Amino acid sequence: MADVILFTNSDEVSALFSDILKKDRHSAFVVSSVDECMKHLYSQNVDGVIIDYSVGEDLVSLSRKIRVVGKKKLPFVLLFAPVDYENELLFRYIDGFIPVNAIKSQIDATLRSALRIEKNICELNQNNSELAKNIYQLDVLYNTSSDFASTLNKKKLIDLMIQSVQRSISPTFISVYVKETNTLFLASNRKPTYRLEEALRLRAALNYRVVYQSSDDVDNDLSGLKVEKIFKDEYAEMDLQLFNYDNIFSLISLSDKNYGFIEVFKEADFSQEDLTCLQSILKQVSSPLENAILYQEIKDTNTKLERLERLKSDFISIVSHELRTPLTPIKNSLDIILKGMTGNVTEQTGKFVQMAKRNADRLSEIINDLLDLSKVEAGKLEFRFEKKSIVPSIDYVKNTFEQMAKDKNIILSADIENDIPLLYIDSKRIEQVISNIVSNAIKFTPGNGQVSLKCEQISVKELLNVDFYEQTLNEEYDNYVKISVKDTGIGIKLEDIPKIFDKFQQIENSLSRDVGGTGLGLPIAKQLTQAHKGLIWLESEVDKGSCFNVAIPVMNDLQIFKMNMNLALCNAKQFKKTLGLVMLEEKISSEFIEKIKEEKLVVPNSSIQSDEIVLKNDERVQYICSIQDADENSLDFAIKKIQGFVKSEVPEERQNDIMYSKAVYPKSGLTTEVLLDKLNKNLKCITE
Amino acid sequence: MKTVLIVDDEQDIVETIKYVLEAQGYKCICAYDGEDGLKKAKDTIPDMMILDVMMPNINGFKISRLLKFDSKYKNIPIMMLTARSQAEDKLIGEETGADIYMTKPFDIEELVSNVKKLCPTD
Repeated sequence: MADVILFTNSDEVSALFSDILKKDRHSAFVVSSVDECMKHLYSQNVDGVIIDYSVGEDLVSLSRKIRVVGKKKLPFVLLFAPVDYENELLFRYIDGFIPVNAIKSQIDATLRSALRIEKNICELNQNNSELAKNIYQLDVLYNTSSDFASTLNKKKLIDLMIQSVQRSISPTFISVYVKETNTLFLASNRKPTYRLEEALRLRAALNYRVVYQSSDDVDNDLSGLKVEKIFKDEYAEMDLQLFNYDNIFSLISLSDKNYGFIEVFKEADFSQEDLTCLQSILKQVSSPLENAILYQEIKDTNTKLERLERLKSDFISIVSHELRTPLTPIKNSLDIILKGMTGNVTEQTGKFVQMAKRNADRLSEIINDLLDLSKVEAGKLEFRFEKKSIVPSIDYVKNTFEQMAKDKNIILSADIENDIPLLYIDSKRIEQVISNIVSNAIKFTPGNGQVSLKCEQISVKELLNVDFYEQTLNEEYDNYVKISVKDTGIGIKLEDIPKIFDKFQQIENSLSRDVGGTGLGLPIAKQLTQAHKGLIWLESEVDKGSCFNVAIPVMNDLQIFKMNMNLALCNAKQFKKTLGLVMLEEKISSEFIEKIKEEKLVVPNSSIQSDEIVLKNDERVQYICSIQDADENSLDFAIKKIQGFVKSEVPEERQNDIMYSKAVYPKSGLTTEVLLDKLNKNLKCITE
Repeated sequence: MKTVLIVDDEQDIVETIKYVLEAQGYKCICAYDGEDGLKKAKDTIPDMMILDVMMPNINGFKISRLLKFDSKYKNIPIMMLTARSQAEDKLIGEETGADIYMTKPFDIEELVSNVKKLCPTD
């Protein structure tokens, strides 16, 4: 089993040791010169060397050489010499001493001991190096899993996978086939020759046929295969005989979904650990790969949807333009005729020309309403919200319809409570809502009737029992201002009530034919009300009358801030922009936050669109500012300025009382709630 | 007699405006596309221009700007006709130059009274 060199010139010594060794089935190789000894050491796996002191060579230098040269192992060195042999230096390089007149059993014991120790040391070394390799591979796997998890980019995942395979099992060549993009990646240190590349292509094609033979989506024979070569050294080429190499082939799959396959080649043999390592890497990459592919699909679908939406709104604008254009000469021509400019107009002619004109006007109104409605539905209608009183809007609408009511002898009245709180509204749009409702009320109330407007404050509790069609009561707001328009008109049948806010749903009855209108007034009113986070509903009884109600929430500053943020987020989403948020927090007092706000350290330029709010409680004061189009860089810049200000203006003992945080849409989150939450979570001390 | 240059790619619109203005004592020159309109404006130097905004090739706003920034033509009063879409509203804000805007479809009486305001008959 063991291979031992006997360095001796004496036949007796040689015989002595050979016997002992052969008895235990070790092999003894006798040499009589240093050269012979070294030659044997270079070429064989020698376990040990026994030196007969009487050879007379420079034993010290020989021993040192032996220690250095062993091919795979570190052979032991035993010296056979008389007990009184003295050589301090030599004794440092040898592992044991066999006295010349030792009896056989003693020599036997010494040899066995030396061999056992040597064997153990060898095993230990081997285990250590394997352990080191395992640790290294685990380390690679650990790093890869976090690397894989950090990207949704397919190409990057493939690159990372190839890198980690290279680092962990050091193959000479890697060939990866990705099914989705029909691409073959070839990775190695040096550039493959054309011949090698062709060989690998062919091999991939063969593998492909084997792997996908039984599946339904075999639709090509890799004729459109794209090849990507990844290599470090472009100047040296490599060529190799593939069949001389050890290889591992593996599929890249996640449960029943397959993404491709990988083959690695190495000149030396792959170990079992290498195989396990490769399999672990592939397992790790499958899930992120699936995510990356899905993410890509989602992005593509989103892009298509956005393009469709943009086309749609352009479509509506184009259509309304196209509809208005021919309407112009129709109306103008009818006017010209009616004015008598083309000659006398008989009564009959006049009657029909009037009819045509009336309907042309009606068509015009419908186009306007349709355009408004589609803008509102698409979220493209621009609003100008302000905190103001709703009372002037109610008065304005009442005044506008005075004449129309008077013409029908209808009493139009308005009862507005005192102390109606301020609301966050776009007064022009609110006027549009109330006008649409009042206009309907007057139209559908026969002569000598009544239309009464009322405006009062109510609590959310009064809304809990109301049936809102397709609207949900948001319990975030405690108080509302309710505007009701009550009429003594023809009323609406119970089964028709749910349809009242649908487009073009003019209820069938004799009055509606003469009343005209576009059928879009109420749907528009509903959309505009919802844009104010309000609610709209009605009560009605046939032949008694109807009561239309609109409730607009009373918002506190924080709610207004959140609403503005939501609007800004919608805007940012639509036009693919960013929204930046900065939060400053000061413990106990608001001394420095006020200063920071005054000095405009966050938003210096008044033309930058921003919203801000200050929140106070017993322990701290928070200042939050949302800035349209701000990104990480501009926020960092603003925060640096604030930090500089704090360092220079705030006394040292109070510097840790001031904290900051930032968040950017879309990076830090997609909704108001998430972004504000992030701000609260990521507060840092100013002085960091 | 005052001359009014009417530029609109819709022939029917041009014809109705021409009919109405001639009845009021104006002389009308017509153009059916932006480039022709610009050329006629420079050649004849009318007392007033009625310009449609949405025309192919060169739109009314551009024509208006070109003329207003040229000392020879900047005194010609301009009335713009727009179909009142959001895009056009935005452009109105950015590229002003016209003296009066009317949205289509318009009332011919209003048109006549605006023309008389910008360019009174002798």
